Amino acid sequence: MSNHTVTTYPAIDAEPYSWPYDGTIDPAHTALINIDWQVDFCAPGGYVDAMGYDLNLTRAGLEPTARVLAAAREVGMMVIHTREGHRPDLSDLPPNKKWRSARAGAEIGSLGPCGRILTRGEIGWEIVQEVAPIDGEYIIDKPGKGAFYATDLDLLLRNHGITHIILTGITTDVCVHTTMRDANDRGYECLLLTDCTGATDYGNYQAALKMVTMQGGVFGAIAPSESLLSSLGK
Amino acid sequence: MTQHSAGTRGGFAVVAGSRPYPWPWDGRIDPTSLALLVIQAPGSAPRASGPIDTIGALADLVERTGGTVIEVITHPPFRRESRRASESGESSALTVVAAAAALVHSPGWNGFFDSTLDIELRRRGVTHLLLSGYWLEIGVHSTMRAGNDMGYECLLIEDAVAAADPELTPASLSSVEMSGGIFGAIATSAMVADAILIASSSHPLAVSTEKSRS
Repeated sequence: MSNHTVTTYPAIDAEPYSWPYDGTIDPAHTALINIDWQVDFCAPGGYVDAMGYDLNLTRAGLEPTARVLAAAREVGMMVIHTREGHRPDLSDLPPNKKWRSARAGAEIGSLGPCGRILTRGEIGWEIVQEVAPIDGEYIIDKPGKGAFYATDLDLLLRNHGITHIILTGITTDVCVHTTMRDANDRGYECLLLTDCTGATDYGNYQAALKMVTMQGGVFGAIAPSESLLSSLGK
Repeated sequence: MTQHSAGTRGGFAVVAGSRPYPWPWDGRIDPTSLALLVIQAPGSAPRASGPIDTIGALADLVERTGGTVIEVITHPPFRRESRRASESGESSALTVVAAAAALVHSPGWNGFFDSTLDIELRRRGVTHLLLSGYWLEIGVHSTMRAGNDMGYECLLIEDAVAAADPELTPASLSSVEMSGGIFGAIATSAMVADAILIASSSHPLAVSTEKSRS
């Protein structure tokens, strides 16, 4: 665990407003949430690969995320990692989700090169080494796209007095967006790091970023990781 | 002619032309297990009347074939010190539906968040959702995502929704279709209406004015 004095950091130049709205970044009340950086979504042999999508798109944000993760640890933010996956008996897998995944060539629970697809305990389900969790960090296992649904994420955030959330992860338009929307609904002040995320389609990635900025920042704000790192003095 | 065996509900009708797969996943529309969600945002309404008229016609059909219509009023989330002017508590619903079964309010953009939407659906045995309303990329998307996570089989009605920013419409639709239909499927209201009519004509309790087609 890092030694740190209680320090706050200046707001960053984000779109469509300087983030956060209340003017300073306070690590004591800020959580970094890394969403689904799993083998299944960004490494060969997993779920996304099996469906035939370009892994370069979902991997693109890994290196900047690793830098942000290091910085967040140094300044003492709460760090949370999420994993999408199902119980080995698939009892928490809605039948329509299973059916669609089979139709797309990557049936959840079926055996692939990285073990059973999107199943807890399997290799494909693990978080990739580049952004692996360490002791003292929190892991949220979720059955859906949103990290709040059927999890204890909100309880953990409340217990830690978190008011602000910084997001990285994949995919931008699916799990990251759903989680950001749900966090925003609950009153969390959210920032999505534009170079720490990616989608299965580049156009959808761009649109997903733009969507956040509409109507004065309908879900929060967006910024490149460099802006955050500068503010944190990293 | 669609067949149905004794003891099953609904015809073996699917929405021809839905994408990326023939909706619903289980190949059977039961009009009485269907709900049309008319999602709305306070303070403004789509300028174009097209989606509103379409919603009205579809709502009539869903209601008369034994389905449920629910108006869902979404809101910008509350902020103690707002970064933008907070919306007033009052909001007028579109009221395109003469007799919606229920009207629910959510304090956020997701119609299921902290609202009675799920219980209203469960009480009525609803398993399949038709998504309509505005704004497509805001409340409609948030609501569809949440419904999908819960296991509802969702269909976005593309001519019954309006985007706050029309430039975001293609991506808003594409995101639904990727990965085999990650949130469900998409179809037009005409495709859906056809399927409902076929399904309801073979429903044991159906009262339909259309003859079933072979």
